[in-house]
Amino acid sequence: MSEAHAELGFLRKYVFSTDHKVIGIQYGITALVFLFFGFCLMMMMRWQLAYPGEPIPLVGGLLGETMVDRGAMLPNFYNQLGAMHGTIMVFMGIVPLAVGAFGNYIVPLQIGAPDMAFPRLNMASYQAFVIGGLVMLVSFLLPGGAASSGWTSYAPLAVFATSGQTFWLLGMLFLIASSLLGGINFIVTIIHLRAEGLTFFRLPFFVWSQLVTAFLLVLAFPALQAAAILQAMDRLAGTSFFLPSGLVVGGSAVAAAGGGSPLLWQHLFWFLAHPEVYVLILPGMGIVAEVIAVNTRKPLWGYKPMVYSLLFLGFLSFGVWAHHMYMTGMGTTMSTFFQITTMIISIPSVIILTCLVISLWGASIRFPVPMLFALAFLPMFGIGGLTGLPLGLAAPDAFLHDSYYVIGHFHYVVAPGTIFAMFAGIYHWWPKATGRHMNETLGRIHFWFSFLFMNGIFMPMMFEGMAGVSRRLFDPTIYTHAEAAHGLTIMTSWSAWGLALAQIPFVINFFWSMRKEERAEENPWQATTLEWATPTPPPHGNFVETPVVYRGPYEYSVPGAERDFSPQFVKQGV
Amino acid sequence: MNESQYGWWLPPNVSAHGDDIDLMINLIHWFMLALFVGWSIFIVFCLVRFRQRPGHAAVYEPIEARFNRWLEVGVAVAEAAVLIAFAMPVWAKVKNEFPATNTNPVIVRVIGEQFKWLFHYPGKDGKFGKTAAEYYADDNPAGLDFDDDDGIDDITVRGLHIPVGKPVIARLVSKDVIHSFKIPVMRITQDVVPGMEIPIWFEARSTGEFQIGCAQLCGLGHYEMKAKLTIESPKEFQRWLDEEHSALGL
Amino acid sequence: MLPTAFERAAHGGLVQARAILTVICLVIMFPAPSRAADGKPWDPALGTATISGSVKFDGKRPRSRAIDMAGADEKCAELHGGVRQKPETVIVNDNGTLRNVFVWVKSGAEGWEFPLPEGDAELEQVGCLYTPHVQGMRTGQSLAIKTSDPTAHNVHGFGKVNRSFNRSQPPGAADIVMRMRRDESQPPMKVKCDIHPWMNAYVAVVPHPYYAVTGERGAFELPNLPPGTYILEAWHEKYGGMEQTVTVADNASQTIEFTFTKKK
Repeated sequence: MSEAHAELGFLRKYVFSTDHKVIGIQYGITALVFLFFGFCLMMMMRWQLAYPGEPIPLVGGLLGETMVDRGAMLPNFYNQLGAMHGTIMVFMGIVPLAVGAFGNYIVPLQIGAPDMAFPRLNMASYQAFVIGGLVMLVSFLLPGGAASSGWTSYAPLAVFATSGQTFWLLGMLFLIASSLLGGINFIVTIIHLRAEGLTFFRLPFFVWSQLVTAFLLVLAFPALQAAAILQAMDRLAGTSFFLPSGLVVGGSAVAAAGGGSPLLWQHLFWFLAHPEVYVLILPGMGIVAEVIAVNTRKPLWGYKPMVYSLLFLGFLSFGVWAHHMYMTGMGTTMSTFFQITTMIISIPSVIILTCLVISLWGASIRFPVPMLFALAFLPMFGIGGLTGLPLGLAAPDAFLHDSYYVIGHFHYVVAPGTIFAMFAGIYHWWPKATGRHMNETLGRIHFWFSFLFMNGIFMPMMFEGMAGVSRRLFDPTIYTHAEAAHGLTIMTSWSAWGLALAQIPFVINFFWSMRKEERAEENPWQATTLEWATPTPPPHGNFVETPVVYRGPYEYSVPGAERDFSPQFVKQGV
Repeated sequence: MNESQYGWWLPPNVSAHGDDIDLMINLIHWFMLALFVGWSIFIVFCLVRFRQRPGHAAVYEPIEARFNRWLEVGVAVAEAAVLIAFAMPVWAKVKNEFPATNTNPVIVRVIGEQFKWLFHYPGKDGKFGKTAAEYYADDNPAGLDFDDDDGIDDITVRGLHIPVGKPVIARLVSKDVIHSFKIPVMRITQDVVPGMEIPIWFEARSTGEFQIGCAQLCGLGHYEMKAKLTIESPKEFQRWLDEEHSALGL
Repeated sequence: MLPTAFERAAHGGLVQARAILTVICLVIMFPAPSRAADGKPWDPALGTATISGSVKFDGKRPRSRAIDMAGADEKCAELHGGVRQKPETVIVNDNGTLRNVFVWVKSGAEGWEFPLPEGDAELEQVGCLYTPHVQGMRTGQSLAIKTSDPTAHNVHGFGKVNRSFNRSQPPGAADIVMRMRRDESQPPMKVKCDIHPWMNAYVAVVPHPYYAVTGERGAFELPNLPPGTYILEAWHEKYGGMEQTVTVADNASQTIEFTFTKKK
């Protein structure tokens, strides 16, 4: 099915490409670089938190005098690092990796399509992502520094902030545009470009997760896009969408029209940001489902309930946003509504997790490196999801809101949750994309130390939050109750630095494996889904012959079959 | 402040409604632990029992759906129970059941500004002086209208004093950005949103010195935005009020 | 492959656009100083006259509440032995004069280029208060902001003409030296500590040496003036500015009075 093309030059083939695989890899590399950068920001913050007022080793001498005082971090810089760490990890790291990289690379392959429905739109969405990312990074060089009002950019604080915040808003405009274009592309691709015989309920769970994610992106992001423009107007054009009357900052009255509401920003922001957290987790769940199915040699248990749960989760995710706002002074009627929807939304998550866990029963489990990460995802996501329960109820949230418990909760879901799923995906699909295997030993070292340090970072945070320590504090030891929990902070910081070191085997593996002599077979994991029907690596156009689908996605160990797997694309018995 | 009271779990509770909140937190965590341990035991069991080895093949359709359905229904019922029996009543009490006037609550205005708290008590006349944004000045951080006689005896301080065993109603306002009034030992948190005056109530049940913090990022001094909370006997509280009153030099 | 005509045209257009943008950036990056640098060099022999006087306050001393530092930052309160300090916003001296009034020659001293004094102007943070509360300095001089307090401060200068600044000073930090390149005395620049909201100071940046701040006696003296007619302004942070025209002859001395009243 490869089309006849004139041979493209280097730029058209690798830089300005419309091929979903090249774009997927571009997204992947860019996102990994941004993830590393965001991680570096946190490592600096971790020093200040563990050893407040001490000069930062290695980099302290390199930073400017608005950032450090004789090497020791200053509060304004800490706030910049905090805001940008969150922004970079969420919008420039995880979403581009989970959706832009894995989605773009794998979805057309898994549905038997030669490319995405709109290849040039795909390229445009990658370029918008890069521009948005650069705008965000460049903001560190501004005289007032980068944005420093949290990744949540609450008004009025963000309206009064330095020009870094304007860059944040501009960067968001590009990043959101990128996701909107991508989301539309995924929806059309998945609905229209499925191979013959690939009905919806024969789709791999990963494709379902990307479909629901795409709907979340397309329907939720416009709220933040609009809100970002409104906030930019408040900052630059003298409007007061989010500024009430009578504000006095630093002893002088604020020259604004007034009459606006800070809560309006929060509603618009969280209307996106709650579905956004499902965008962060769903592709990861999809990858874990694929890896578990392949490595248990049996169908996923409860595929249909899992799919229905995905759809229900996506739908409900639009109705829970104000559980981030319980403390804003809302009345009991509103908070009851959102507590109910929040409790209900935990059900589909539990269903998906439980189905994945039950899939292990009666299996024949193999433990290659991707499976290690996928298995670890299960309890880690379990902890993350469970710790959402006290936060989802208003009364316990009164104590835990904006504390380290919240940080522990969402990081458990995203860090040893989604990022482990991302690693599982990289190790799993590496042979298909590069034609080589990653080194197993390095992979195992990478896994075990990452698993250890991830828990070393985020479990202490649960206790810190219980002890009452608030988040976003430049120097928590100001508070006596936080000083008592300082040992936990030190544990977290050393684990964070350990986690950084634990990635070294992965980086070595990454570059070393690409150049190995020994090639992998076309279907080294003996999997059943369509992406394994292509040559390795897949050429432009993906499939040699147009694939036809004959059965479901996880037909492993079918009674009476010759082998322990029956691929979707093989017409057996003919 | 007695440093040894603080550790790695909940700080001491000195609030009347704190027990309800602590009960909920602990109950939910037992539930979470049960689920997590259950899942984990099952996973580890499977990893050992069903690991790939010679003579062992996977089973295409191993178990029925009933087990999962029981689990789901169980989880849903437990969550509903926690919500209806605990979460909603406790929250309703904290948010709606303000102390009646005949309980003689202490009323105090809490003003959040970058980056320190300000506490505004009505003076001996029990009446708050008129305040407005136009009166804020460097020497008038509470924004009092000095022409209003009611405000002449008002007390404005940067540390909160409250009597033990009596309800307190705090009216929260902000001058500039969103702050959050958090007292961990009292188990209360309330965002302070500019443009709104948000009332909360609480009652202390033991004395001591504690800290109030800001729990919503409000700028570069956010970490420093603390105030001292002094809970004292009603007599000592009255003596403190009298001292502040005489310091006004009226 | 050779670029198409369109691509060549677009490329050429891009080059031009980049050139224009570069020029624009260079131009706006170098702000012009706010006064002509070419005045006549000052000749001290000409400064023979003096204007002096006092600033009175008419009316009852306004009431103010003492600052409660203890509730917010115990270290600050300890530096004063627990004694609450009075705010410095309105200080009426015992002799009925007003303290911390900035008096300066608003017009009449143009056309001269006065030498800058040696050293920097200083703003100190002691006991969680700024010292001095009001001061004048020369355009082109630097302001050295020092801290000797055991608690962190954050100096926030709200410049309307000079660039605003916002710098942290943890305990023991080095001086922050800010060069004030432009005139800013209408009104003087407000400096505030973000961490301790009661800390305020005012710094006026003036192109000539004819300025003073009233002290305990409420008096000011502006010596070494060339004879002529001047408009003097007395500025108070709460009561604003008040002008007076004064003519002074060679080798002569004039005494004037400003009177501020409590605003209704």
